[in-house]
Amino acid sequence: MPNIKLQSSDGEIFTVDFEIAKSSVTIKTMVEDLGLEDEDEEIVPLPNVNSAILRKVIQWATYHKDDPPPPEDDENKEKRTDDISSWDADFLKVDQGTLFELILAANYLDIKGLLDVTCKTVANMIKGKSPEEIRKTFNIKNDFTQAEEEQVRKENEWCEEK
Amino acid sequence: FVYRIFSYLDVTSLCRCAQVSKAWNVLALDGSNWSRIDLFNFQTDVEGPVLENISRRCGGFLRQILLKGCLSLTDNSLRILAQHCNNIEDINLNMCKKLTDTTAQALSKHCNKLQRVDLGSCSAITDLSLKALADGCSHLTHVNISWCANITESGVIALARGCRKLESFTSMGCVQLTNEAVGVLASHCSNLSAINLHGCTVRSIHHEKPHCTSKTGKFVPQNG
Repeated sequence: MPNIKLQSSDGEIFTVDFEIAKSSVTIKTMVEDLGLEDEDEEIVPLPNVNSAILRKVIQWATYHKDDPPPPEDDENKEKRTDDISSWDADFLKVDQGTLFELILAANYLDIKGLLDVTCKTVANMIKGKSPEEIRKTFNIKNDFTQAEEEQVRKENEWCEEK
Repeated sequence: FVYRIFSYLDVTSLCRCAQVSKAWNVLALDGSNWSRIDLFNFQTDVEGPVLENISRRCGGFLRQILLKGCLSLTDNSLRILAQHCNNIEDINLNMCKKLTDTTAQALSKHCNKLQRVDLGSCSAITDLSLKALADGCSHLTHVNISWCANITESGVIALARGCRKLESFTSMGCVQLTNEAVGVLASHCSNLSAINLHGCTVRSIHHEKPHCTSKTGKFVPQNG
């Protein structure tokens, strides 16, 4: 089965090489479980992904189709965030809303490589920033009372270089 | 997936995230982000309350904690750590000079999964520490007691009997060790592949076969 049809939440249909679509464990399992392998006309509905995001996901998966499978998570290994390829970095130069939708889609479609690189990108947006800068970056409201804020500041001040 | 993002953050970033908002505080301080902690870069700032806070945050999630050079830590803080974090597998207390046998006894009582312990330069500890570890921490594979000059052969023999899985034993500068102690280690711990006895003056020779060969004190047991 060379091609597969994917339908986004807003009804658009994408025809994708099955080898590329398989990088999504969710799609791979769905196709195998439903026995769609022999049917050309079957459409896989993806009600949690809109067409703009699905187009990005397919673009990513197409570029990475020959990548080796991503390594299993090793909790004993320090996780790096400085190993994002320049293609991925360019690909992820998108507004925050799109970035978070990509994370959700990667999570739902179970595409580990894309999930890793999107989460790393967000982690890099947090690193090196003060609490106030983080609030500004992600538009978060500070809901601590003054006393509470002072308390958490004290609890966490040890991590700041003096 | 928020936890996945946080899993890429270092200790400093997590502590800053904890100050952003109430929701972020809960997320950033969740123990699952804190299974490996290296406080070496913060050593002069790490005082008792900091470690006690971390202990409560991490709980059973904590697997590895590196406290090398955190000079101000006391037995009491380490007791609280051991009580909260029973799943520690790797602890480095090198240069925590205020610690005594009480710390090893707490680890023995609460942290039975311990595999690696570094007590190098914890110069106050005695054979009681090794006896405690032998009683409670039978999974130990790596032990460093360098420059703990109070250690004698009776502590090391107890360790050898209790911790048969030992792979590496480092006791540089433990001047009271004897050949006998080394022989018991070699005969009880069949996985032992590295012993560093640099600076040990072996005082008596009970074994006919010399186990210790090279000048650096690197040692490979000959019977496996």
